[in-house]
Amino acid sequence: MTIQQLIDQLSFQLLTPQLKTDGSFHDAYTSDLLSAALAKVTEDHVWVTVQVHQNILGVASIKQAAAIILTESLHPDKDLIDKAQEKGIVILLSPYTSFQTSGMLYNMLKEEKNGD
Amino acid sequence: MENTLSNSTDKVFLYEVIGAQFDTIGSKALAVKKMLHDYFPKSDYLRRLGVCVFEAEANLAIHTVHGGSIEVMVFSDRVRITAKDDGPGMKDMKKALTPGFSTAPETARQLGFGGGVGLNNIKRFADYFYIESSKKGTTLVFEVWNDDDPTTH
Repeated sequence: MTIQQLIDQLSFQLLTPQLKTDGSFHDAYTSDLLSAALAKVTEDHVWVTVQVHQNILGVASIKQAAAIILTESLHPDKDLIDKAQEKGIVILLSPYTSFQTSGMLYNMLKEEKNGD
Repeated sequence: MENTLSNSTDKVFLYEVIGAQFDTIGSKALAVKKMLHDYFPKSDYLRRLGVCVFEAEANLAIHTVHGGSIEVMVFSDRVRITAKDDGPGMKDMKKALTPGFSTAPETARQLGFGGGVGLNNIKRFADYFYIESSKKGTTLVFEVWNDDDPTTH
């Protein structure tokens, strides 16, 4: 599944328009605890969180996450978005809660897997 | 692999971490990861190392008064990291190494730090782990070994 498919099918907003959205992923991880994300997120994951501070860029960058999905329409400040684009980290904004967002991702990934 | 240094090195890099400054946590870990790319191009290895350095950096920024230093020693087959600070140290090492236990302040917890799994993350991703602590400070040493087949880089 590609980041673009998430934007098209779930109406997530792309906050980093300068970055490509053709990156793919096959799993997702949801946590607001940075150490948990550090341990579990891989380059094959999108990371779902409500944290909107600078440190999430460090975590996503270290683990080369496919994208960060911020939930509940918690919009980060411009500085974070600028830095994300500099570092090449795709950020999406979901209007739903982390639970709802994760459920949607789970179903989409499951459907894709079953369709293979 | 034996826990002995297989190759001497003069490649030592030092990074300073400022105490009680949370917004830059991760910046040194990224700098270390970037610097090491020339020595160890395999991304999986660098991710493991990056996780460990991130956690060590977070501990220095959150739990110390004056911050501390991260020394990176590069060997042909491994990297040794030494994180040092001058206090206040861990009161109870056993508790500090228990998953879920944390003394991080509320300001750090609100940012998603202080889950009490940082040191355990290092233990999990590193191949060698040593820590000692007193009121005068804490020294954490860990190594991440690049024991994969170099031809797969």
